[in-house]
Amino acid sequence: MAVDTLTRYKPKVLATIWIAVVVGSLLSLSLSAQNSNQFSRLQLWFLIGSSVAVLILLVLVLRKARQLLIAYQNNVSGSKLTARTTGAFIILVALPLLTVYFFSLSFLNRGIDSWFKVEIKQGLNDAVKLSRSALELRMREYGLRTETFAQQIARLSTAESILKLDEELRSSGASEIVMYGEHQQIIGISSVTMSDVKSIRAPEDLVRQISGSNTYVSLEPIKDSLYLIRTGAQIKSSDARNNAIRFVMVTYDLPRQFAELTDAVQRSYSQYGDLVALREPLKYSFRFTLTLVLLVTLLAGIYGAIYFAEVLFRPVRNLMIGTRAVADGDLSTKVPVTSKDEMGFLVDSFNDMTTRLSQARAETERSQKAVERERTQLAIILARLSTGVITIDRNLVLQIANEAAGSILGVDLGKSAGHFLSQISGSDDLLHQFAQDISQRFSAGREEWREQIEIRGDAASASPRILVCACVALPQVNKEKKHYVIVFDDVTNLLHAQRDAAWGEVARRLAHEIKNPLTPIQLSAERIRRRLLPNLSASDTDLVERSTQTIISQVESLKKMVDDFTEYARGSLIEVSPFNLNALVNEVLDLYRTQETAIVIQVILDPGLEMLHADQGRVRQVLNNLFTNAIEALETVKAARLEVISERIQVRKQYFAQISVSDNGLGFPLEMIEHIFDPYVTSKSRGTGLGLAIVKKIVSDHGGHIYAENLISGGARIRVMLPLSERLS
Amino acid sequence: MIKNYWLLNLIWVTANVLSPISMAQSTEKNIESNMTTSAISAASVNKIIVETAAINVNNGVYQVSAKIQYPKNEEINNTLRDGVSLAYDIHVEVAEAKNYWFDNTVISITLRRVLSFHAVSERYLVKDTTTGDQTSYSSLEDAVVFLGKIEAWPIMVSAQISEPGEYTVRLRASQYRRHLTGALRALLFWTNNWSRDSGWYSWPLIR
Repeated sequence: MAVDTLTRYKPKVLATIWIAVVVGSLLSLSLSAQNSNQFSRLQLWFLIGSSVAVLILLVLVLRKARQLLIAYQNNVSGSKLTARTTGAFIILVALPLLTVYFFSLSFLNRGIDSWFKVEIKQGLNDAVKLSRSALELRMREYGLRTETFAQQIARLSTAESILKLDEELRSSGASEIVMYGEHQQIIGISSVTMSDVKSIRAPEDLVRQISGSNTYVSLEPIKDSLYLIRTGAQIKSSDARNNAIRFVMVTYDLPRQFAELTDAVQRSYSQYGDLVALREPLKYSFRFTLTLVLLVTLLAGIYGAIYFAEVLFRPVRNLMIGTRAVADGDLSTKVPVTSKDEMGFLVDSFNDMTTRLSQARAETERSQKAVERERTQLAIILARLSTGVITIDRNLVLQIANEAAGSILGVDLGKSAGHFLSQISGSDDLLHQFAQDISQRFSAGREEWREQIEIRGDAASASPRILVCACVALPQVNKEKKHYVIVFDDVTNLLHAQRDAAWGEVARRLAHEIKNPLTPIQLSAERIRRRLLPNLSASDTDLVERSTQTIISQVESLKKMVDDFTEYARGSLIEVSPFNLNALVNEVLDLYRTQETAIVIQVILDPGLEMLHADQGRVRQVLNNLFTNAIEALETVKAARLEVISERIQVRKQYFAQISVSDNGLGFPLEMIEHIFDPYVTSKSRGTGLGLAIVKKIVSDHGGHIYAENLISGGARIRVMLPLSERLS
Repeated sequence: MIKNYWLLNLIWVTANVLSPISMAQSTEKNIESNMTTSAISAASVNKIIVETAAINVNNGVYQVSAKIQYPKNEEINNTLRDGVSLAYDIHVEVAEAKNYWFDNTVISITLRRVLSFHAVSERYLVKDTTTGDQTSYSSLEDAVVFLGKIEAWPIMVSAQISEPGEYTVRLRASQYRRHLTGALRALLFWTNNWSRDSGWYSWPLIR
């Protein structure tokens, strides 16, 4: 916690300390400059502190500048803006600083030089000379007097000389007279105040000078405002027995007024001398101090410029990074709010915007998912529907189609979205006819309709497909192309079933109504014949014989017809069991091979045909009817030929066992071919017209298909397709 | 920081026995601590050389005597005559040697005297800044000789040092321009000819 707080406030703490140090240094310099003693005491520490500060600042500035340069070269977000602002800040800081610096340098040099004018030096020297001249006059007088006194006592004995000392002291105004004998021994002394003997030992320079036969005169500063004029002269005795010399030293006090003036001149001279000596060091010191201040301020300014530019543009950089992230699709990006000013408001707005965008995207995704879910559900519903549903535009471009639509139209529409209906290829031409019918209605300006459409497909002999269609225009959104949904059902089988059911009902009623009186008719005819024939004449017998025989044969014929009706009307209950279709075909054909006919029977059976699950008896009946019809059709045909082919075929996803029965007879009449599988439709004079109807009913009961067609080469062909791989329920 | 003095002591004892100065000073009842002589070369006229240094105990007061050769040339003379004052410091330290720590400084004392030229009297003044005593000389040479002769300068009393300790005395003489501040002297160390230093002259304190 403490570490986090420290890290958080570290820049501010450092900046505060730094500003305090810099301001403190400058303040110290200012205060010290006003007080020379303080300046002398603090200057070294100030210089050391400032030098260290300059070094630290230099390192920090170089480090910052390097970071900025690297960021600039690497095109880091916000670095160019930071660099430009930093440059502007530096120029703004450096220009006035350098101006002040060079002005101050020039001012310092001129100011310090002005302190040391030649006139001042000359004046001081003159003052010294004047003082010296004034004193030298007095000193010379004192020297001459001492010399005279030495000559006077030179002629006297030692005792007389000593007595002369007091007299001379009083008359000359001296403060002290000492007479030295050989080896600088004090012979006599006379003083205004009693002095210690040791303290008036003769100075060495006095002794040296007197030894050279010269008179010694000197002005000696003793203490502040206290000067002595010390004179000395050799006592030249004529009877001196050796080289040892005697001398007298006379000391005068300099009057206080002279002493104070001399002190004042000397003090000024010394102070000026010290000042002159400090001239260059002072200039150097001020230059150095000023340069240090400049460097500290300039470097601090540069560092501050970089730092504040970074701080200023950090939110901008963060915003740029955030914007880039948002552009890349990352809406979870949040820019940290570092201030509460306008920039903080901008960052807040950005964060608010990304939050709203994120929410909007989440909502869109939810909506998309809902739409997808609904679409999936719709697709599932459409897929499960047995009704065909397609969506097209005005140009018949397919948008959506369900599986049932493809199944009804005989084409896989799953991957045909975006194609024109007329360009989608299928197994037959149902789709194209369907498209033509719809196009005709659109061309007639009919956009919403509900009608029954009959489409036939490619084969001319194929039975037509009857579709119940409904077309509705979809609501138009944003001026898009108008779309239409077409819902259609294949009602062919339904209609056929209805018709078959109707015919079955007719057959059942016919059978019921006809079959019941037939047996009494037949029995009545036989009883008439049995009762009347023995009692009738030959002519009547023949008549009754032929008439009853006609009745009986016609009744038999009617019974057969009624049996056919009964068969047709019988329910669709079938008994399924596996059996070999090829074997069944051969078995049924064997019945016809034994008959003596000129018909050539050709059989091509697929050995790979698998076991068929169906009602074997019914399938046998189908084969019998087909073969019978074919053979009857070939009765009047020369070089008659019957061809039976079994094969395994695939229609869409379903495998079928197909039996094709072809003959080279006259074929089906064209006007009948559409209704050839309807009851009571026959081209034969004695047929009931129920054979093919029963065949079709059996095939339909097995879930199969039957097609009749005329061959181009002549003759007819009937194809029966029974489903494989699927147990019939 | 000198800690092992046995070799130095041996040299000192040999020198002490052979030294005529040592013998002369032994007439006093005071304990003679040390006395060494350094070679003086003619080329060292611009250097400060501590020729001799010794420490005596007189009535329980340790006194330093030394002979120091200060430079004296025309340049110095002219500088003085221009009114510039020169300070002459003699710094003495007595430190107790510690085996595992920094030496303990017992006393650190400075004798500061200022040499200046009195333009009106044309004499050279030597002033002790501590006592205020002032003497004057007619020549620079006399003044410098006076400055270089230290006699019986009391630095401490015997109570300030303990009996079993090993002590080192060291002396350093320096000359500098008086009114140049420490900071200026630091700044001008490579140009200022007036700042001179003899370096430490040290010897063991024998009691």
